[in-house]
Amino acid sequence: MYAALWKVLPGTVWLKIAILTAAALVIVTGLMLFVFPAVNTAISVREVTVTP
Amino acid sequence: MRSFWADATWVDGPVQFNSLRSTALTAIIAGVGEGAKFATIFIPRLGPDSTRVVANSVDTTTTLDRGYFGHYPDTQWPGQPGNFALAVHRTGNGSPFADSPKLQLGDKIYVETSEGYYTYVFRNYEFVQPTAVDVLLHVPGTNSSPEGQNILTITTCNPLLGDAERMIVYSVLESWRPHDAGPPQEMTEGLEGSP
Repeated sequence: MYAALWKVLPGTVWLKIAILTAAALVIVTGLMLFVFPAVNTAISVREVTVTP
Repeated sequence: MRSFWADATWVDGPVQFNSLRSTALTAIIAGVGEGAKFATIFIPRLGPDSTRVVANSVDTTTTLDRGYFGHYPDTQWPGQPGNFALAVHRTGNGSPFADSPKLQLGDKIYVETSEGYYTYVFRNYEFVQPTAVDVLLHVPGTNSSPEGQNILTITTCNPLLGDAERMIVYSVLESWRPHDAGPPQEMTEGLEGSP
């Protein structure tokens, strides 16, 4: 799978590395900002206070 | 069932907490706005990296979900006679209170504000319904006078991964020192990288 990805990408080795690095940053940022908070809302316990 | 709160003073019983009587002169933080961060709390039993922020709110989004301890705004301040009551997540959002069932009688809980260092000593757990707001009273579960009582109450969810109940962690103030005097020696000893 990673070999196929490497062949599909255009340009020199350094361009490929730059593209992959940028893609990794976008993916990680998306996970941190949107996916993980959404999962947290779905699975975590919300109520820790005592209320009437 | 909670009658011992009313019948006993904090210095009676088999466990003696020294210097309770000297706490009448503690400095009390004032003018803390709703939602403002005003203290840190450090519980060595939960690990050397267990220091967390305390903010003056129990709002889920702005306070508790950030891993802070939230102060019930209508309760007292550290060192003020009565009940300094906090809420905190046990699971998720950094799990700041995940190891709380490991607390042992006499474990120290350190609260630092701009006014001073407040050393509390763990006393007991209680398991209550989510509606049991009487744990927030000056003396939990009673209508007793706050005079001479300095209690730290921490509410969190129970059972683990659920919130059908609340687990309450009670501690009592053991000693206090002004902020200028620096942290208690026992608070920093044994911690790598501490000043």
